[in-house]
Amino acid sequence: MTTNAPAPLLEVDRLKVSVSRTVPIVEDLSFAIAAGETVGLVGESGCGKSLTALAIMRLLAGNLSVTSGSIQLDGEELTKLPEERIRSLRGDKMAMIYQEPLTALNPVMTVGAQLVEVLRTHRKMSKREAAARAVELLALVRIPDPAARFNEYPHRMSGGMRQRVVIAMALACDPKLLIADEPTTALDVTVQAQVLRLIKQLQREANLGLLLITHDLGVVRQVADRIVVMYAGSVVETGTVAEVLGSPRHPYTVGLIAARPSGSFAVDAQKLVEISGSVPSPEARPKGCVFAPRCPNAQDDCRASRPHLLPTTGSHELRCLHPMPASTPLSAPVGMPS
Amino acid sequence: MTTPAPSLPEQTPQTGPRKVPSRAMLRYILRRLSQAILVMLLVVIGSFFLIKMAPGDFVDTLAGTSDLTAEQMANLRARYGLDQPVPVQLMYYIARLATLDLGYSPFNNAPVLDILVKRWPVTAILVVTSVSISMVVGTLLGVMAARFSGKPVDLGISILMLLFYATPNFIIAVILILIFSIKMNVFPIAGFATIASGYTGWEYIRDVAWHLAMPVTALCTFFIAIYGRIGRAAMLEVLTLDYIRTARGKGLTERRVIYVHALRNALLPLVTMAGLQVSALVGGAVLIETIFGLNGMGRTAFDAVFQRDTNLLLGVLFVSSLSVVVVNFIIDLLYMVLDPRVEIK
Amino acid sequence: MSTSGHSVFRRLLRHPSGLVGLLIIALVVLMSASAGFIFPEGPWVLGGRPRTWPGVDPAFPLGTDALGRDMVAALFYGARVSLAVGAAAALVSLVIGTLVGAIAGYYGGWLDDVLMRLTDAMQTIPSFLAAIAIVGVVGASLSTIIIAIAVVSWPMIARLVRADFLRLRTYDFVQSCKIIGMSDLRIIFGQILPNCLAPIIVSSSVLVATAIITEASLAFLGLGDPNVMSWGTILSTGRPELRSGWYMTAFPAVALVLTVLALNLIGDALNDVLNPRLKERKS
Repeated sequence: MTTNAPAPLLEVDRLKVSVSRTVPIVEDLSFAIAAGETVGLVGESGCGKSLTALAIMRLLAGNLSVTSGSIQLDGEELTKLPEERIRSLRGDKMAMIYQEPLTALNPVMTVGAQLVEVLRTHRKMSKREAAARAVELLALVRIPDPAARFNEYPHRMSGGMRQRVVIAMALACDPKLLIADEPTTALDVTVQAQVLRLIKQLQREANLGLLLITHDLGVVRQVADRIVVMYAGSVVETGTVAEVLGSPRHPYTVGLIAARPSGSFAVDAQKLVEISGSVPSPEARPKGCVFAPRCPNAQDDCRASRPHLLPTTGSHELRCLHPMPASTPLSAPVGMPS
Repeated sequence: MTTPAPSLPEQTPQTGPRKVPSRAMLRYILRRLSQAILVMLLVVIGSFFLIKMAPGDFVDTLAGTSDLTAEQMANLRARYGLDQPVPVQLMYYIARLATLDLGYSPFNNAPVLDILVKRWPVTAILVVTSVSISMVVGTLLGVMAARFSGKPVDLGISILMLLFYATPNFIIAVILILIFSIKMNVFPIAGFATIASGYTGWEYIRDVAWHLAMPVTALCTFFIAIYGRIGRAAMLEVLTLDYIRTARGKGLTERRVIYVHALRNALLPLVTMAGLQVSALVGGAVLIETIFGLNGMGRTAFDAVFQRDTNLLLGVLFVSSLSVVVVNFIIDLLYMVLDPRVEIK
Repeated sequence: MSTSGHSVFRRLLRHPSGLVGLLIIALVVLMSASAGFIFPEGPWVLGGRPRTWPGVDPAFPLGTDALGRDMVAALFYGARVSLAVGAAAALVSLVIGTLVGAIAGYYGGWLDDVLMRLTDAMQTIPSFLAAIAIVGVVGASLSTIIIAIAVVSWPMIARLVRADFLRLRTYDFVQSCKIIGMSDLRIIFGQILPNCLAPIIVSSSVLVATAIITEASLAFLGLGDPNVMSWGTILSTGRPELRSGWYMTAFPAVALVLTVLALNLIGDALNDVLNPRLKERKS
């Protein structure tokens, strides 16, 4: 456990992402990732997880933009970098794995060409060198017969294989930060575990900072060191996996854990009926605590003003005026991964 | 593992370029061939009934140009099967055209096929150049409009496209002639090449290009508008897709994202349109060739109408349709090269 | 969302390009309606000095052509021909296209196969050349021209209607109509067709525009009906005079381009008004 670590690899501080520069979707979002650390970013779909990832990569499209706050990668302020510099970081120092392997690759280019491209963009390599390295990368992500697959078009590969290609592409230039946005959600259940294990292993070997975005608490428990729980655009609870999953304090986190389908930690929207009501739309967020309308513990002070994210014990932080008691008995045993 | 397209053999890892199964290929060719035959059959049957609807038959036309006795006319009718019942005549007609016997042109005193073989290259050059130029220029304009969507560049291009789309090619031709031939005297007003210039090699090609600059431009504008509008829409669509985000996430330059990743995909719907364009261009060539005095098939059709030369007129229709069918086949093959997802089924 | 004719028209008027388009078309309609009153003696009278430039003789504000005929009268009568041919040809091809598309899409199977192969084949044949062949062989008259244009332009509508029918025929309301024993004819025309009018309406404005261009092109080639004065006829007679009197070409050209432009603008506007989903995606 690193208590007195040097400056973290990635530091997101009070980040605000808005639509049309007026309606905030992500608000007051802060977290940090150290080198070699895996942080799980958890929440229901629509809570702003993916937007956070795109904001870090500066890939926000259309009318979305970062309106305040800072994102620092190795001490460099990403939100203010000129476009040219941010482009040289993308795919090099920071890279991303996407949710949909079926659509993440260009259908009219071979897998090899798409790998070679990223190598030649960031490294001075001849075509031949890049091709050789690309085959190595395909082997690294355990694609059988990488030399033959090099000339393959994406549509002739399965979802799992394509996701491996996307991973190889992300790791091509030895990034320091890897963002994985629901990397296994779209895959077959049997393939999910393999791909997840692969990501985790490669992360350990390269000492990567990994931001793992997921709605699956089971995945987080398996691979993450720390966990950030998001609700309606901001962090409601954060800490080590043991702290948060072992002793959840925020009513939302408790609801999430309780609502998971039996046997897994996946947050299934349908099971969330246990938390009554639904996530407020960004335009209709209440003035006070955003979770108050659905919260069993909510009182008048919750609706009056928005609580701050405050430390409790250890690295455990909480945004709640009336949290659950520290030793909430849980219906299912939640704890350290075995 | 992968689930390959149904008609494909399991990919063995060692193979280099993928092999197309010959039976599927054969089936594909047969299907295309039957489609082509249907088009040509439609042209032929249509032509036949047009002839039947026309006032007077072929012998009447002949009688108009030379003195024939009633007996001679009856003999001729018997010889050409014109005394047979209509379905039999139709069969004769189809059989005749199937052997590329397009009949005789009394006015030109030559077989129709011979005339058209001579006139064909002019139209082919005109149409192929126009298709290529309008595709390239139109697509580039569309890409630019999409790239700067909502900005002044986009608005300017959109207005230009709207004007090009609304202006018939013969009006563009007249405007070009007025400005560049009559007022400024930079381009020749008519003809395919300078007559009796003795140019050879590159000089000849330059001369022809000089002569074709205005006709090609006039023929292009409408199609530039079509490619521009569809290209813009296709590009805007493609730019929202996941793999574009992946490409940006790899740190590629915006140029590379647009021209390598997006454009190749946006081109696909444009290529499928090229077949229809060729067909429309062949039609447009009638006006352009007539205006610019180019001796191609379009001009031949125009002349044939006024010489009451039905064989020649329908011959032009036949040969043009045949050419379009062949071009469509080539475009299909091109599409397969551009889009690896298309497999022969 | 209600798409009654009245509300569509009102929303069209509020759409900038729709308003411009409607204004221009209204002007053309006015021209063709008033042609008979303002120029009762028709467009063919040789009233003035030949080749009078516009603005020279107040009696002929837009000048006269090579034979001394009034340009204004010619333009007014030309508007009549363009509108009439455009509307009639569009109507005929709409009828053919809708019938073919509806039958193919509703019944599917081999009938669909045959009809769509036919449509494909029709689209492959160079349409303007086919129109010339029809008019050239049968003889130029307004009705032949209208039929010729319709024969070559129905395939587009057929494809459109078929696609909608294929989609709609699986819907519950169609299935329930079948169950209660409604006849195919009533289902096709009473139930499904009203639900796919939007794309038909949008493309009909383009259809009219194409028909107007085709008529003008035929007339420009000298293949127009010799008894009517069309914009194409004026262009055709003006072409040899290009060197000395380009105004003879300019006026009908402007009239033609503006009319076609207006129809395209209306088509774009109709598309926005009738397909709110597409509009959202654009912005």
